[in-house]
Amino acid sequence: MLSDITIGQMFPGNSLIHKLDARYKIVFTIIFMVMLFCANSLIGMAITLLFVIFIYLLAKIPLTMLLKSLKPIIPIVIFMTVFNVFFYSGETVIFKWGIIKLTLEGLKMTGVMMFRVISVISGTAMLTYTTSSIELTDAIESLMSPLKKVKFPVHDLSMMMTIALRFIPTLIEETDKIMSAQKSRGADFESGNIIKRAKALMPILIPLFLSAVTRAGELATAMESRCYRGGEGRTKMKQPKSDKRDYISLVFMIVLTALVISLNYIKF
Amino acid sequence: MAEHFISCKNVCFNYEGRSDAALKNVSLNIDKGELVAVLGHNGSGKSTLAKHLNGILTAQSGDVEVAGYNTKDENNIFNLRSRVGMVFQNPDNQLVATIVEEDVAFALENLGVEPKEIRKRVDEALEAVGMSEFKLSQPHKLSGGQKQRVAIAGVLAMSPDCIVLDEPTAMLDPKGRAQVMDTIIKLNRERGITVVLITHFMEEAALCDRIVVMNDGEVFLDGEPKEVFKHAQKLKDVGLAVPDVTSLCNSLQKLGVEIETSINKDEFIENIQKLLIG
Repeated sequence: MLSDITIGQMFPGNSLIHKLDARYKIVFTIIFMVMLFCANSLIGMAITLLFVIFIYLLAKIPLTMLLKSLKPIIPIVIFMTVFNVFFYSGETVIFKWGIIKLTLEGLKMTGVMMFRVISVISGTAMLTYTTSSIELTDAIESLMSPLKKVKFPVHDLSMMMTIALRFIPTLIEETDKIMSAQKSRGADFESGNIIKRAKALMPILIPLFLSAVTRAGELATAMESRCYRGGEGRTKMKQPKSDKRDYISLVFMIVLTALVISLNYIKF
Repeated sequence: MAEHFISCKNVCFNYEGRSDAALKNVSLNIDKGELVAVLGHNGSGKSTLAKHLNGILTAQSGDVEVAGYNTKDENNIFNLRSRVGMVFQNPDNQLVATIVEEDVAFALENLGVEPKEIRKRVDEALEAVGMSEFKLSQPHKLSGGQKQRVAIAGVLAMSPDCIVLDEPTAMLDPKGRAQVMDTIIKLNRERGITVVLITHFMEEAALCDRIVVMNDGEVFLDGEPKEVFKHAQKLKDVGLAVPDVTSLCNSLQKLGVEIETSINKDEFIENIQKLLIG
């Protein structure tokens, strides 16, 4: 049950998108967001949407995956739609009833909002779909390495992320075990009000925390035994490598963003 | 000085807040290439002894010298640890990375080895423990025995002279246990790596060249398996039982049957045949 949860789930593949340098992919995601929020013209938005679809096709990610990742935001989208449609103060009134009025501007605004939310989720999800967690942490470490000059603990941060990612499945498994153990002794997690249910979680959380602390201690000893002494003088087996396809993609991204932004100022 | 690879001299150690000492005046020498089992029930000090061998704990009095380094010497602690690899009981709590090969590379990355060289040694280490096909797997998807072999590969990649294993099979099923033991013995026989195996399984100890029995923080017995297993009663007194076949031999000897002490099934069958056929 709990093991269905997959954080930053990757969809393995061999496409161009998968092969891109993870550092570039992070930068691309940021550029994409800029592009998205600068797109105000209809054509600009259409281009952005087409771009998202194009990337998904290129990465060979099935559309069902995308729909799955969009599922949790449906309530937010509905909420926003209702508010925008009926309470946006526009001038071209289509329909009016009491304080509620439906305006053309409201409809437009809603459309823009929905487009942005959907694009932002599907665009950023692409990063985790095509990049393994270790590539991602390595890339973040590499991108943040200039911060080392101001004594920011870049290596420690990425080590922490790696260990967290490594232990998520282990701890989920353990939570499952503890829950089963407590259930078999008659614990009830499903009935009662919120406070009652929150209280019922204590017998799960306490053993989980205890074991996490023990694990941390043992892991620290094991790391020390394998000569871990922080980031200084450390090398990496896999060196991040960027090549032609990364540069070409970067140029493409910049041109596309420039195009989308300039479309805002062109009147048709 | 350095005649023995590992030499412990009058080592004493007390955990903070405990009245009785975990190690009391332990003196022990282990030579290069030996396959030594350290036996003892819970709380006998065997794990504490293991942690002294790579300087995770340091003796409060007495000295531990390994590979020519005193474990108290802070300046050489990483030289020491790269030569004495350590594998722990819980396979889940010693794997650091999210991918098998990254984990095996961890120690080498810490030591600042060149990327190309790391690649080579990681592949070799995984090959040596028979885990090459899993090099891109995620640790949490492996079985206990496989995880433990990855952990062994992780220390093997440092090409250590010695591997200390602290109850590596305690949390494994029989199949995983057999895999891990096979790997350990192979590394000792084929590569001449000194192995110190902390265990409470008699059957595992019987596979080693030498057994050191710990009790109450002291070395209780020390010798070849056959010698040690002759003291069945003594072992029983400290909460350990000899393997079934050995126990059978001892009973037969008491009845006047002139059978040699055997420590495993095959040897026992051989000895019985010798006795019957003459």
